[in-house]
Amino acid sequence: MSGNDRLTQNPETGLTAVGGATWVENWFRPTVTAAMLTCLVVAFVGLVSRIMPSWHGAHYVAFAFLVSWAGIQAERLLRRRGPDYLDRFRYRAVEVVVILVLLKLMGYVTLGWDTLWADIRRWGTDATIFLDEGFVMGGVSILCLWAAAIAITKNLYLLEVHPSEIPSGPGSPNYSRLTFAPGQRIDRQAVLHDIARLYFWGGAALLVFTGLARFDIPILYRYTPPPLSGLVFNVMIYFALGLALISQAHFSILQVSWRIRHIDVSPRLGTRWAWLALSFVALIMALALILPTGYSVGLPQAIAFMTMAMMRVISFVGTWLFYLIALLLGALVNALGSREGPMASRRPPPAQLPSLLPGNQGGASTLPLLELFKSVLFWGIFLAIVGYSVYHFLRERRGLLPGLESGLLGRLIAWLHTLWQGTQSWSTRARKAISSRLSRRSDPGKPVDRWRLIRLSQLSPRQQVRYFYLSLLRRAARIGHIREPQQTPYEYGQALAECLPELASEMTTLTQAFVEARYSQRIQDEQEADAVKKVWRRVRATLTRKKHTAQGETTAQLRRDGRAGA
Amino acid sequence: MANLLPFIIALFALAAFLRLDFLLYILYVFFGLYLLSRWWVRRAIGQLRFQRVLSAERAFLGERVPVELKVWNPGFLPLPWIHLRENLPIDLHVPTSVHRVFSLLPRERETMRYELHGWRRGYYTLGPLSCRGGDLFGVVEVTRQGKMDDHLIVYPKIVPLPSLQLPSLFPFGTLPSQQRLFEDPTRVMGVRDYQPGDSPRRIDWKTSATLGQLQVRRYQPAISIEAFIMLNLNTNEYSQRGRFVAPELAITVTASVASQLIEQRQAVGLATNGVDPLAVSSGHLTLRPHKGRGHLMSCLELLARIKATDAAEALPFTALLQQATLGLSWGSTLVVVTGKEDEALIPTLVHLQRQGFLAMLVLVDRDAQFDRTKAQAEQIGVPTYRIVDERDLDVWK
Repeated sequence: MSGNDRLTQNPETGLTAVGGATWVENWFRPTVTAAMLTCLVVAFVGLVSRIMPSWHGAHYVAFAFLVSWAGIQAERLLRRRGPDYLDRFRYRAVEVVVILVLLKLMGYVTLGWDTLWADIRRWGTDATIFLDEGFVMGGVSILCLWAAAIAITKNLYLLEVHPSEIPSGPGSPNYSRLTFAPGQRIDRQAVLHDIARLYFWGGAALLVFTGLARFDIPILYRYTPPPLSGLVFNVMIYFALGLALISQAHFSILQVSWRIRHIDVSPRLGTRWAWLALSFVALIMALALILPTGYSVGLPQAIAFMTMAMMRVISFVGTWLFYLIALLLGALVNALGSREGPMASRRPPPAQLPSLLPGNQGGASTLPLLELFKSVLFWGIFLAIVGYSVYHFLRERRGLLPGLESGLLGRLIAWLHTLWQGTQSWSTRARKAISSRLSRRSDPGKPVDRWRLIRLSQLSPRQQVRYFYLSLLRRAARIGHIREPQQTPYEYGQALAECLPELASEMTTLTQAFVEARYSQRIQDEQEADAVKKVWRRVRATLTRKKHTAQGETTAQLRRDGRAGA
Repeated sequence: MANLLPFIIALFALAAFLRLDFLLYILYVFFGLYLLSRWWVRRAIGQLRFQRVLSAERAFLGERVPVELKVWNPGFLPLPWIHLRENLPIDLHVPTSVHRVFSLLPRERETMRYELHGWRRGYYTLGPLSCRGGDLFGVVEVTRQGKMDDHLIVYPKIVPLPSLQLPSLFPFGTLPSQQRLFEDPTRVMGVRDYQPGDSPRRIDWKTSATLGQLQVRRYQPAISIEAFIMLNLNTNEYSQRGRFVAPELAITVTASVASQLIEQRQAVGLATNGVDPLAVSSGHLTLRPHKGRGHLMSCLELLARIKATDAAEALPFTALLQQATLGLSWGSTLVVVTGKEDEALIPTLVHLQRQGFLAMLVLVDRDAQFDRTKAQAEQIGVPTYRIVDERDLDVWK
């Protein structure tokens, strides 16, 4: 299936959405844009409410969302109709009037319909009653919001794939027109920058509104309202939704590049992109919310605390190690000295081991540990950001500072770079060694390490039988019956049976089982392995007994030789 | 979004100066996004596993080979988008690359399917596979090359040649012969009455006892051919016009002759002065004469891989004829497939005949002076054929 087949036509816009994710363009993007702009209104309403407590702007928030959303959808509708500017102007003018009328009527929701009726009769005589300060302020803000929503939608529209941009095959009638005609391509990076600019300007306005609302500007007036405290959720939500929107814009740009090159795109990509962007932003926000935003101790104190803490940890570990070694040595000395008697009763008093937690002596450690930890974390993040920025600053300007590389600083940087590479290489090697060890442990097919303990339960029946036979070889070799390289299993079994006639039948069974396990394709089950195991145990017991006997004889012989020599 | 760093620094300075906690939250969000996106994408793409599954690693000419390119994300990090690009030889796929864009959730697998078409014989390396991925915000894009060396062998074209007749000096074999001189005592046709002069060894005693008079066995005349095909792929010895087409035709002739002889259960060997991309050492390439389908596959694989060469140090064909025949058994039939005549070719063939080989000459270059060469070759008893088109192979059909 070609890439074109996977693209679905959006019935509303006439454009093409990748992967059938028309809901992303019809619902997700308008909702995100409207919600983002509503966050601006929340901040604006908060600021105005602090300046003019009599102004009730709560209902503006919901109204702002609806106006933004409707403005976006209207823009999409107009785009579908085509570039008829007169029609567009009429449509927009009617929309503005309706928005203003609804805005005015909304103001009377709290005042009551009687007030509305009374005001309507006075509008003809006094225009200031109609254009009161609340209506003007609300109207201006709502219309600004509406215009911003339309601007963002226009830019998002420009980012979408337009059928005229898709090159057709050489056989199509408009091939030469689409291929060679100038000005067919849209500079989408510039459009993306426009969206980002709108987003950051909006963010700046939001920060200003929120900042002003949090400062004591109302102190200029005759009353002092309580300052806002805690999180400013609308700010966070604005930036989060803005990131989701920018993510969509980036997706649109990628979409166009794929589409123009006729690349096959997965039908699930559009939906997944939206969900992943939301999840990613939510994750980042959750991480940000648990990070500290203040500090109880300054940077020098934090560094001093960190140094002290590290020293304390090193001292703690060292002391414990020393204590354990001393304990072992003491036990050894006691064991050796117990023959002499009185030394055993002289035991040193128990050592006083240090505690890992800092005491309450002096300086920064008088603060609660959590506060200290938060301060250290804060300064750690601060230093990380500064260090990361400096690193990138120097890295991107390496060519501009030629003297830097040859000087002392250059050598220091080179040394740090080497150190970093060495650390990375060491960690990579360690990781590989650990993973290979783990994989070897989990893979029963690989050869078993000679010095490692074997769990028979983890071996397959075939491997168990082989293990029994190899164990027999090892044990027989200890008592002098070494298998020669040229001996087949049967020959060796026969030779061993001649030397140890009591094991003749067992050797036959074990040899036969081993040959089958080693060379036949027949599947062996657990019962067979268990039967061989019983035989192997008997052989093992016999061989162990023989070994002890041989050792005893050797010792006796040595003693006899020693006496004879004496 | 790639230039977030100045914004982050400005935000941080503002937040530190004003000590506004919500500014710090925003700062954390942006810095986290910048840092996490970079780390996330690099790690997730680094963990990807690729597997290319070919339905067959060998294909005959014109055959289609479906391929599955499997990508597995073994990690716990999802990948927002991946652009897979598989580069392919133009002789197997048009266009020369296959693309697909998709996302991968943790532990998810995705399969890209395409089909290769064996349009031309050859030994083809598939790939390289290029994987490009990025984050959701355009902060970073990472490209990774998948190191997978899969190969596809497309065998040369084989034309059935049921009427192919090669000369032979081996009287005992499996091929029926018109020459009554060569009778195979293992292939009994029947019996006839004894005539004076018949060898007593030919008397069929059981039948004679049954019939009451002496009967002798009649043997089927048969020959065995141990053929050795000598293929000239030194394009310096082809005409300027035919140096691209004629070597390919020579390979087709060689493959067809080898296939036909193996079908007839004869031993076939092959020697050529072409270049094998898999050959460890330079020099001519030789497959000793053997029977069987496995050997035919070896011959076809070599003929699929082999490339004509115009290198100055390429072995001259007459030198190949002398070197490759050193270990051949007496009486072998040499099928000499070359472009055009060479001054030294006929004397070399004469020399080989004196050594006890039979020869058959096939010229595949249009510009060869066929009539003169044929006259010279037939003077020394070498049958000569002119195959400048596949239709010319009809002489053996």
